[in-house]
Amino acid sequence: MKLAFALICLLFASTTNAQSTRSPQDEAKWLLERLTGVKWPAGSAVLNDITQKIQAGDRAGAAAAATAQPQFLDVVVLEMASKMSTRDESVREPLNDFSATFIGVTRDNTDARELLHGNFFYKGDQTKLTGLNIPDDVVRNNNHYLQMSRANVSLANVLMRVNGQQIANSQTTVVPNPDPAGVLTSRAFMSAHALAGTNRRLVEYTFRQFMCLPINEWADTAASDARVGRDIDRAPGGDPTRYMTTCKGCHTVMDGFRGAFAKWDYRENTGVIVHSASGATNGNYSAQGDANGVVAKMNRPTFIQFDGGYVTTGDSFINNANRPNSVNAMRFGWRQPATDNDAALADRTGGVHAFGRLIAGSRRFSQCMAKRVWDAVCKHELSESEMDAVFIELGFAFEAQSYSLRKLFESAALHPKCRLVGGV
Amino acid sequence: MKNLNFKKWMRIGALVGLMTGVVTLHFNCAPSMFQPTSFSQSSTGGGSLGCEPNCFEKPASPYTLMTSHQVFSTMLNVTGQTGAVSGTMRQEYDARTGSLADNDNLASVNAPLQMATTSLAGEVCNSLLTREQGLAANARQFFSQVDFNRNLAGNTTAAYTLAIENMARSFWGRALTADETQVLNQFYNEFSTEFSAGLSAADQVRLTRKLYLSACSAMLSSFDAMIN
Repeated sequence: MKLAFALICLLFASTTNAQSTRSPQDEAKWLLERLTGVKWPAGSAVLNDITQKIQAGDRAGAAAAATAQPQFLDVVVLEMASKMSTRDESVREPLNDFSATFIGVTRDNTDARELLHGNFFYKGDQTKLTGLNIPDDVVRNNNHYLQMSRANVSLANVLMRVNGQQIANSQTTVVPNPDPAGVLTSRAFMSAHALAGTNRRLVEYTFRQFMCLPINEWADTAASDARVGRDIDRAPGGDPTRYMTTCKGCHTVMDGFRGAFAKWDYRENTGVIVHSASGATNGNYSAQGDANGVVAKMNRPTFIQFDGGYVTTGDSFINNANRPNSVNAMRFGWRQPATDNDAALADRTGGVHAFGRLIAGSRRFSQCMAKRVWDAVCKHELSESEMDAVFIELGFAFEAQSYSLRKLFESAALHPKCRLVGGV
Repeated sequence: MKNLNFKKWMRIGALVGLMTGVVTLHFNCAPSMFQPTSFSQSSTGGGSLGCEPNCFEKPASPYTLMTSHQVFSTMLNVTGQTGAVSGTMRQEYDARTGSLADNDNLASVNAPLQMATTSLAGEVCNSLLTREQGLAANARQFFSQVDFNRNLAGNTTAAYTLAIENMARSFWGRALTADETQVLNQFYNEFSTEFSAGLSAADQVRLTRKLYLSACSAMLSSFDAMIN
């Protein structure tokens, strides 16, 4: 017993010793470089300030000073958001409305759950872009964001929040977005995932980006397949077992949620996202929904593989990832949908807005944001058991800090496991 | 005494049983909440040359590679040019982005990446030199003792030493090591003797700028400047 205690003490002592060998200057340099994504000259004012804070034991203040630098938003948050915004999942994605909104929410310290259900977006403030000839249209193309990016302006300084999302319903007119849901109804996310297909990809990538789970991880063959569409063959190759053991698993959960996107589509020729309630008459701007507003690709009348499959009649959805005692129920940690301050939208139980609130309210969303921030700042893998512990811990901290992404970045950077021993 | 021993053994047995249960539940039966990040989630994943996903294992290193955007932003930051991107810099960045990293995996470092970094550093340094040449000597950040209107012989070695020390502190965040100083001094000697031979007087003056452009580009694109 005494030996075991001595061993534990020795292990603890060696760990703390390894950490205590880092000088305040070294600690400050690492913290600043990881939170801003760029290197800094020795002796720069910001580095000196952070060093002094660390010397005074104010590590939280040091992290806050690092996230106050424009590069935190212009580089680190931008790259994290860019990776989440489109199907390529690349840091090289051009700036778009998804990443601008993500940066804005981080800068303004607003509740990050709104990213999934809020009726707002961020764009460049034209009063700060004078002389740069940046186009203002953000609903028909990405030129506004692209040209702002190429003008080398600091997004940290020029972005402004615009309340009330809009969609185009003709070449020249826009209407309020009938089903606003933060970045889920951004042009970037919709154009990446509502393009062609059957709107299942929107569900898949919402889970991939905001729950940090690829579809094979949340497939559940034991869940109900009552919502699986008619276009899914129940006996592929004449073998019903194949459907039961493989196809069904993904479709139970995915098709359950798919209804949320039933009224949405993307028009590639005009580059606009469309909703059946927009009132558009021109086919290039209309979702061309049926009598219920459901777009054709949801039911695929010309591609029926199984007559008894589910026919979508509205934008309702069901949560098949919440089967009692299932792994999914435990992983996702479903709770009440995220609080909605918009009285006009709060009562909705269908559509993307309600879907976004459900996702944002889950425990998994907080943990997933912790994981994404960890990857962006700490940049090293943890063992599976460490991941569970660290991301759950940071997820709780994220919630306790009113879902502030900026605070989450700071918490992750200061986490004892973030920096590998022996760092620069 | 016998009874006490029995109770003791019962307690130990119960404790072992409980720990076994916890370990089994936690590590075997209970599903893991998170899976390690696979590089297959990245678009080009393993590298900038179209390397297939998972072709490089990510090393467990305290150092990570900077992405193309981070490298460019770093170059601008350490040379004091943030927000002042010239057309030629932007053009060079656009041309080289594809060869620079899109992930933080150190194993992605390859020759095209290093060459692209050097080319980009060349443009950033070119802009830096142009800016500093236009300033009074005491207003310069890097080349305060360099007289760009004279040839190398007309400049002091102290001016060179100060310039490389300034660049090391800014680009690498630290002082030069003895080895690095030796290499950079050797470069200076070779440059001033071998390259200046046979040049016209005007070209010899231009050589002063070329020396500092070369040294700046080399230091700004060194491995130390690519990682954080």
